[in-house]
Amino acid sequence: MNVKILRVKPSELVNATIRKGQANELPSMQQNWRFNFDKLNKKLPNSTSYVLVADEEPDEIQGCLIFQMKDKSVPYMAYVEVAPNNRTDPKKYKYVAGCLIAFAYKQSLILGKGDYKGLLSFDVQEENTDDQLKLMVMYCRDYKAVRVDETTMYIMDDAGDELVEKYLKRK
Amino acid sequence: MASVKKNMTSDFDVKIGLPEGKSWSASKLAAMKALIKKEAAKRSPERKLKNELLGIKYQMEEYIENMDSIEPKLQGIDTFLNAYLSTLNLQFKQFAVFIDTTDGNLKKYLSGQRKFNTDLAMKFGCFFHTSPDLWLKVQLKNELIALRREHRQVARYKKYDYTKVVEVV
Repeated sequence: MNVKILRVKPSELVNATIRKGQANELPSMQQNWRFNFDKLNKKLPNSTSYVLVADEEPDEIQGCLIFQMKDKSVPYMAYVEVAPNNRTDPKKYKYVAGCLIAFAYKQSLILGKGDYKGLLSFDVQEENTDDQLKLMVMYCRDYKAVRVDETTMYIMDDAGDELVEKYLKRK
Repeated sequence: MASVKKNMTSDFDVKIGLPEGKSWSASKLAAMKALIKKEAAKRSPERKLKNELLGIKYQMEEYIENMDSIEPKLQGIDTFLNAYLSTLNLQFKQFAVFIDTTDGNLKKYLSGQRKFNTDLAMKFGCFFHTSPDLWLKVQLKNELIALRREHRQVARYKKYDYTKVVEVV
């Protein structure tokens, strides 16, 4: 799907695309990513990998998502990560994570059935407990996520609609 | 303190996922399913309906935008119409009357006997609270899929060539 992300220098909204990722292009730790998306993609049942690329650099992956239907019923954002160049200060592009999370929420509405439709769960786990808490607080603030336990959170209904509006319908 | 403040700016360093090899236990999955059911029970009937309708709308958008597949599965307008009608608990015949036509006439448009047009797209769009474009784009996407299939039989069409009938001096 077509989205807009912010190129930081020079500052400008640019067109980007979220599409299914091919097995041979998925990023890995060897490329300084924190997850081996190439391996995880093969391991997780009922999952699909998506990549976000800027249209001005279609061969460079700016963010990656693995969306899973856990136990074939629970919409689950198994992995999301932005490219190493979007973690540095200054980042190359902003809004990459927001677009992928909003896209995953949209998938929860498409693929979820009954009670599971419109509720996207995910896990956050950092080595350091303080970092873990800080991250969860930020997900609560920026994505209106709700904390379930030490690692698990979810986004549902109005919060998800807001994300779709903010990140996927940006003009 | 400064680094904390820096991290609190928007679009922070997002990393979602459990470490490799870790996943939910069976009891965690059961607890999450129970929690989801509990949260779902709090939804108003309007919100439940909104989610169902959004699901169909997003499915249509995905169908239109999906360029990943070389040989996409064709989904006619009737597929999405039936999904809307079933969600809203409406019969096809009732719907036809609501949009000032008859079921027989509407079937002709959906089967391709007559061309799905802007008037119907407007009616569908207003009735289901979607953009009329969405319905026309599904129609266009299906025509493009059909065209792509015809392309493979291009040899059959080689005879249609202006150079065979126009003499260029």
